[in-house]
Amino acid sequence: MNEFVRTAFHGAAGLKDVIDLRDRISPATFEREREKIFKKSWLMIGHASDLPVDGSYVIRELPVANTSLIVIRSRDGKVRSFHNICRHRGNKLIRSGTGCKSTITCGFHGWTWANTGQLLGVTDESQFLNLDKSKLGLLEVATEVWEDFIFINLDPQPKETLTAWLGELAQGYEGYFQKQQRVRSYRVRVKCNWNLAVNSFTEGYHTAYIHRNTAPDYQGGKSNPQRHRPFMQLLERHARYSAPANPDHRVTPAEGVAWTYGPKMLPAADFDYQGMPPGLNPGRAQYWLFDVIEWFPNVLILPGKHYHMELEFWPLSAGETELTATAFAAPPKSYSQRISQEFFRTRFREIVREDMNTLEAQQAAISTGVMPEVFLSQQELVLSHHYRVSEQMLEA
Amino acid sequence: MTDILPILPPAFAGLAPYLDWALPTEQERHFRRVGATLPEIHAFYDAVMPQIHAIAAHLDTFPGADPDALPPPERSLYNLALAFMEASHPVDLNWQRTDIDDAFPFERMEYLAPVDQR
Repeated sequence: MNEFVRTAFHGAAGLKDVIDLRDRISPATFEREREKIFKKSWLMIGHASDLPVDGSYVIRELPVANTSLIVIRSRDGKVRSFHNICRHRGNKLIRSGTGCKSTITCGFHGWTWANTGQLLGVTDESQFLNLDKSKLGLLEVATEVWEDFIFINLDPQPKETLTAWLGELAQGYEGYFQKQQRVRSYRVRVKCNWNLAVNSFTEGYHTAYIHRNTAPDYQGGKSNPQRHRPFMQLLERHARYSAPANPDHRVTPAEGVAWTYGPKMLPAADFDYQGMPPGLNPGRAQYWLFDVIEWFPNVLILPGKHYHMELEFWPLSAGETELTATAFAAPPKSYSQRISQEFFRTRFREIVREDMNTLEAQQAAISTGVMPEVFLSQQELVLSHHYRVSEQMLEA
Repeated sequence: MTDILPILPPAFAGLAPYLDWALPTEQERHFRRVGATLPEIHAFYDAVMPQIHAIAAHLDTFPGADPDALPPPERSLYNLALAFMEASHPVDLNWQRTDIDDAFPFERMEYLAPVDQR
């Protein structure tokens, strides 16, 4: 019998392999998720490099928390987030978009705050009889930056720091993300519950089937025909696994052109792991393609040697999700490198379109309510883990 | 916004029949591909493939990597090379259609351009 790749599981004990998804997508569960998960978790909402100078800001709408945030680099260099609300009468301070502001002035009655959140000026102040300006700073939301990622926590008193929240995943990626820039980004709205949407991207079982037209031979190969994940780790909240590269992947003609001018990227693999941060390929697989990391609850990071993908799943309601898929790679140094990257980014787009296309169909099927349970393969245990963590937070 | 003159550098004038592929954004190139016929895609691919290395070499005689810094003929050539990559997937993967079966409708995708689409 051949020696096929077997998955090294870490932390999988006790995970259910039969789950009922019907309750997971109900409006009642979603209302509990909003309060107990999305308002209690550290959520990744952007990149510090998108706020390059003091005063740079971005407006982030967060329908899941029924709020809008001003995410801004303050004059002291720290990235802060504020509810986008005027402390006088509750106007929305900045309507949308991005920009740069040393002070924030409300268009309604002209109150002004520093970009640190401190109230600087009240117009016609003598007409206010009991105003303590020191208590009318903008309503701040806990914000921390890890590597290039901005995380917020809507809990007024977060139970733990971001580092504690990330746990083991806080180490091992030093400097990796900062070396890459956004090369393409797509956003879709799907009529699908956010949990189901996340689940669709956190198992590799589907890859041989759903991606048969776009990446027919990128994973697995002779030593691993069923594409078993070589490594899978279920952490306190988060999870990660490695995708197995196929060492016999056939490079097609245009793909060969691409790898003439730039490093091998999806659907090919670069087996020279020199210089990779220790967090990548954590199981030290011989044939490694990329990792899939679930940052509970709603972000997936897929880091490869020369690129990474970020997927964000923002619930709009129990049955609708906004999904953003973004590809990152090293900044191109020449036009030929840009041409090389164009192969990667357009192929990435087509692969993601296949993943996206199952979401509404699955939502429709599960929401019929006629199917009592879902049977999971060991290769799909990240789904079971996601719901175990979810239940723990909902019951806390 | 970039106005692209529909001309190519002299060495690549033979590709002029395919200039309608030389579109400046990914969305336009993607829509061009799915709106084409399969024989049209193959003809475009077959015309560019023998010259793609010469195209890359010519573009790399210009410093940097900013498409907006290229002279108009080279910018058209660059757009054409990106369109070649866009058109390569149905050909290299031997699709029987210009778009994949079972893929999310491209019309429903928002092409965010935080850096650029170039």
